[in-house]
Formats: sequence, C-alpha cells, structure tokens
Amino acid sequence: MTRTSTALDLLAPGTSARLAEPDPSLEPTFREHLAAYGLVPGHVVTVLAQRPMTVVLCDHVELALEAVVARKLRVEAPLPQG
Amino acid sequence: MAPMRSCSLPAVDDVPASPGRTYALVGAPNVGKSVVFHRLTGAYVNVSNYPGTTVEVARAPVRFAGGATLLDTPGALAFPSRSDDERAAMRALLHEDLRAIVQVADAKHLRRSLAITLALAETGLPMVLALNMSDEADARGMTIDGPRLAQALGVEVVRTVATTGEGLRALAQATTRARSASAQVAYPAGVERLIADTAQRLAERLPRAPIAPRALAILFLGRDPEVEAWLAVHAPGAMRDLVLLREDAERRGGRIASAIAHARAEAAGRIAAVALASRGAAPMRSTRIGRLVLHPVWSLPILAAVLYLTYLFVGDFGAGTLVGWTEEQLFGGTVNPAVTRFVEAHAPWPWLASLLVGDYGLWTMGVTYAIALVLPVVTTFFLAFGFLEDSGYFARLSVIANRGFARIGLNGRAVLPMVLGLGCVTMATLTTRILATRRERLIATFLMALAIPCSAQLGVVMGMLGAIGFVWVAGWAGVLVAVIALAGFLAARLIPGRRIPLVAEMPPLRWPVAGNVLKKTWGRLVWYLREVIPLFLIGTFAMWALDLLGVLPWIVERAEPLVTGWLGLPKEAAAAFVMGFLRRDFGATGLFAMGSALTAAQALIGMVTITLFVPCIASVLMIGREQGALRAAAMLAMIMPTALLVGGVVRLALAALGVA
Repeated sequence: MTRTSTALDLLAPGTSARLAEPDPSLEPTFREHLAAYGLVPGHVVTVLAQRPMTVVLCDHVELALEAVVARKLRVEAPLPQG
Repeated sequence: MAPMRSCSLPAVDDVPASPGRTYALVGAPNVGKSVVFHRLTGAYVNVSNYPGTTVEVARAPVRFAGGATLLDTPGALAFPSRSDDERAAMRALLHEDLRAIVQVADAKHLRRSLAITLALAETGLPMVLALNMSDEADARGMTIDGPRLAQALGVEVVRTVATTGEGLRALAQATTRARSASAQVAYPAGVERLIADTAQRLAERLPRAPIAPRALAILFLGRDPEVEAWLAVHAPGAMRDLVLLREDAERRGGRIASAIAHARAEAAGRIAAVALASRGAAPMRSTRIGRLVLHPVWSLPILAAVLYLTYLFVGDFGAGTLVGWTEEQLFGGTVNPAVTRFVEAHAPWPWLASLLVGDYGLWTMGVTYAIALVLPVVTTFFLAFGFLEDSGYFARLSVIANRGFARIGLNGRAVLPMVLGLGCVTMATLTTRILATRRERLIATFLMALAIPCSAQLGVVMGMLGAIGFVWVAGWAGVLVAVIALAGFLAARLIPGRRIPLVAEMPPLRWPVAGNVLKKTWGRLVWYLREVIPLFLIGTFAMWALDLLGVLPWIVERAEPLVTGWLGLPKEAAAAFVMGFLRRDFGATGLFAMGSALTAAQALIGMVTITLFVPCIASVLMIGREQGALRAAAMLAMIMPTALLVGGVVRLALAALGVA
C-alpha cells in the first residue's frame, strides 16, 4: 500500500512532516548526498521558509534546498503542530 | 531489532602493523576541525563559520604527544568520497601511516555525524569521537548520553567546545588511548555477501593495507574514486575481476552506494535515538535573526545595510582616511623624502638612484604602493570579510544570491570566492575549490579573472571615479555587473556539464568571535604580503627596465591607434595598460596618476578597460595551478580582447549619450 505524498516545496512554513521516498527522478548520487545531510525517508523535518529557497530544520540543523531539489523530496501528510 | 552488528573488527591483522606517529582530524564541513587543530597544535589554519573553507590538508606537530603530527583534513560529508574535499580526506586515510583518527562531529547533528563515525569505524583504525559544539547542542535542548554512545560505538566519546577550549585536554588524552571501534553497520544480506567476497580477494593481495579490507571493499563497491585509484596501483591484478563483480551486482540489485548510504543512515539514526534526549527549546535569538536575514522582504534592506557598512569601513575609512594618512602624510610627507635624500646622497651611480627612488623606483613605486596604498585597503577588507564570514552571514548570502548565480551556471556557494575576490582575486581563485564541480570552478575563476576588481584596484577606482562623482562609480560597477552577467550567461551555455543545485547548511548566525576574525585577517594579510610584495618589486623593476631600454615608449607608440582611436584615451594611457600586465591595480594607478589629463568619460573608459584587462601575475599563476596552463592561457586570450572591446563600446555609448 502506498501512502500519498506531497512535494516538500508545497509545505507551508512552520509545518513538520515525515520524509517519504523521494521522487524517482532524483538522481541516486544526489539522493546519497541528501542522505549524508540526514534527509532520509522516515525522518521528520520542519519547514522554516519557502522563499527565497526552501529551508528545513533537520534534527537541529538548518538546511537550504534549491527548488529543484525540494520539489523532488516528498513528504507524508503534515504532522500536527505543537 | 539488531541494528548494529557487534563483531571484532579485523584490526590487528589488517591495519598497518607498526602504527605511525600521525593523527588525522576527520569530520563533516563546518564542525570546527580547524579550531580543534589549532587547539591541539598551536598552528593556525583558515577557520571559518562557512562550510568548506579548509581546502588543503594542514599538518603540524601536536602538543600532546612528542614527535607526533596532526593532519587537518577538509570537510567530508560522507564516504565513499565524491567531492574534492572528501577525496582529500580519503587520500589521507589511504596514504598516511595513521596512528589514529580523531573524528570531530557536530553535536547538534548527532545522526549525521554518526553516519561518518560508522564509515570510519569500518577502516579499523583506532579512533576517538569529539562531540564538538556541545554548547550549541545544550542551547537547543539536546542531552547526549556520552557513556552510552561510547558503549554503542566501542570508542571514547569526548564532549568539546573547541572555541572555548572545553574538553580539549580530555580529547588529547583520549586520542593517545584510541582504539578501533566495535560498531559496524549490517548491510542488506546481498551487499554483505559482496563485501565479504571483495574483502577476501583484497586481503589475499594486500596483507598490509592501510585500512581494513572490509572498508576497502565497501568503498570500492561504493565507487570511491580515491580507493579505485589506490587499488589500481596496489592491487592491479584484482581490479578487472572486482569491477566485473561490482557491475554484475549493480545490474541485478541496483546502485550499491545507495544501499550503503541508506543502511548507514538508518544505523546512525538508531544509535542516535539511544544516546540522545531532546527537550523542546524555544527558538534561539540567533535562529530568529537568521530567519530575518533570509526573509523575502527584510533580506534586501539587511543586505543593503551590510554592503553600506562594509563600504563605510573599507571604502571610506580604509581607502580614504587610512590611505590618506599612509600615502600622503607618512610616505609622501615623511618617509619617501627622507629615503630619496638618503639614496641620492649615497648612491654611487645615477641608475641605482633611479632604480630605487625614481619614477619607477623599487621604493618610491613598489614599496610605497604596497604599503601605503594597498595595505590599508586589504587590511580593512579582510577584517570586514572575516567579520561577515565568522558571523555566518555568507552562508545566508549564498541562499539570497542563488537565483542570480543560477543564471550564470553557478550556485550560491560561489558567493564566497566572488566576494573574497573583491579582496584578492589570487586568494579567491584558490577558494574556488569549495565549489562542487570543475565546471563551476572554471566559470567562477574565469569571471573573477575577467571582471572582479581586487581591493587594491577598488581603492584606486574609488579614489579616481569617486572624486569625479558617485554616478561614475555606479556606471563603472554597472558595466562590470553587465559583463559578468553576459560572460557568465555565455560560459554557462558553452562550457559542457550541468549546474549543481544548491543544498547548503546554514551555520548558526552569531556575533563574531574577535579572536577568530583577527587571526583570520592576520593569516590572510601575511599570505597576501608574502605573495604580493615580491610581485610589486618585480613589476616595478620590469617597468623601470622597460623605461630604461626605451621599450615602454615603443609599446606606447605601437598601441596608440588602439588607445587613442578605439578607446579615445590619450596615448600615454597605453603605458598604464602595459603596467596592467603586471598588476591590474598597477595599471589603474597609472591612469590615476594621469589625473586631470583625463576627462570624466575617459576616466570611466580607462577604468573599465583596465579592470577587465588582465588578472595580475599572481592570479595568472594561481589560475594555471588550479586550472592548468592551457586554460590559463585561453582565459588570457579571451579576456584581453574582451576588455578592449567593452572599453570601446563604453566610449561609443557615452558618445551616443552626448557625454564627452
């Protein structure tokens, strides 16, 4: 069963969500690069900003992701805030 | 659940039998390795609050073990290595006879740090883990159970705050007791079989490999280029079979590197979950300010304020007040008249007096220029640059500027070398190493060589065009930005390869540490003066010799049609362009010296042309070193005609606007 996922760049700032499997078109080398930053499926990130770039809080580190990358990172349904 | 396979690493048999006297600092970018290096050795390397600023491996004797040395390797985000920095770190692991590894980790990002720990654990080399920036982790409400973490990894874990020195003594002591880690990642069964098969083949051929055969196997299967190169030299007979084995496995099961990265990330996450407790903490003030700096609306006024304050400090105070004092009062009023009197009274031959204190005198031109005009400007520039760098602002600037850089085939990371280029293009050329691909490095290097004026040149331009009016400075800057945009646009389309999108860590925004800024400025100044003063003297000597031999007038004569006809400048300006061969700012100074002989329009045309003309000798040498002699020559061949073309176009444009 596959759960629906949405692109990370569509998430509103302040929202947390669990990373899903990235878009298949994301190159494996780039996927490995993102894994090294801690962006792996199952991990929860919080979106801090969407402009000028997507900025997420991953663990306790802020990561800026260009739109073309954020678009290919998929997240599951946003987690309840608080 | 069996996330970690606790097994005895084949350390005794597979690491070098006689441990060396070298320790290596390894870790992700921007975790404070260089500060730890400084604390453990007393030696200083470039320390920044910006990822990727250690571009070469530094080496110095350690304080804690007599006769031993410590290596500071560039930041490695992951292994198998991909970037140049990671490759340099891997080279150190393969080619150095290491006694132990000191992994410096960012305590705030334990999970990511542990993925590297697990990769290093596979090498079988003794190691110790420094959880650096622990104060920042505390401030974020994180509590790391050190003993539990040490137990899970099988290595000593030391809490450190390198900037204050906390935990460094304990780290030094732990390093002398370092042992091989017991933790290992359990990869998927198919990958494990491949690793075992590959490791066995390697162990048979390499009884004394620098790292464990299991690590060599994993890195080879993950396509680490350094390991492939090392194996091609040390186990050439095995390579063909191993490559076939890997290709066959990847055809059937997909990319092995992905499986490795995934398994490591999962294992690291599980260990982190055991050792880490987080309580909710209110966003820190630095976090809130950091968001403001990136805010779609507020980021621009903040950027404008940063630029204006930088201009006030470097342009107004450095190039104006300080240079006014050093050039006019100190050198012009006191030092040079005294030196000239002394030389003229004591020099046995007139040519010697001319060489030392003449129009192109080593003292009156070379030393005076380097010390009185350039030094105050570069000092204030490097101070301002160090302040912004240490504050974490540049990382945010890379995000703000990313869209603009995307249009010229680069990404926001190019901000750092480009801005540093405004201080010294030679130094900035070296710093292009932080860019991810050769293509990006080539584009950035070319654009800097073409159109980024260094601070010495900026000082001269400000002095000359600023005196005429702000609109002329703005016009000059506008032409340069247009040239960068157009040249970058074309370079991005003509140079093969593709652009890498930006993924960047935002280091915490902080009030800069004065000691860091001063040390950085001092390090850069020493480098700059060592590099530049000899070149100034060589350049001055060449000018003196050309003048003496009558070559200068000859070149001026030959260049006259181009200079007077196409550029519309007085023929004497040709001499300035000859000087520009030696240093662009030298050439600008030549134009500056013509002063009232030039109209405002001629001053603008001259300054635009000389800014674009040729990079200084030191830059050309650095470009040759970084990009190869052929590319350096090709750049020069493109840059000079471009400069003359743009200069002529500016003249035509000014004429069309009715500005004489």
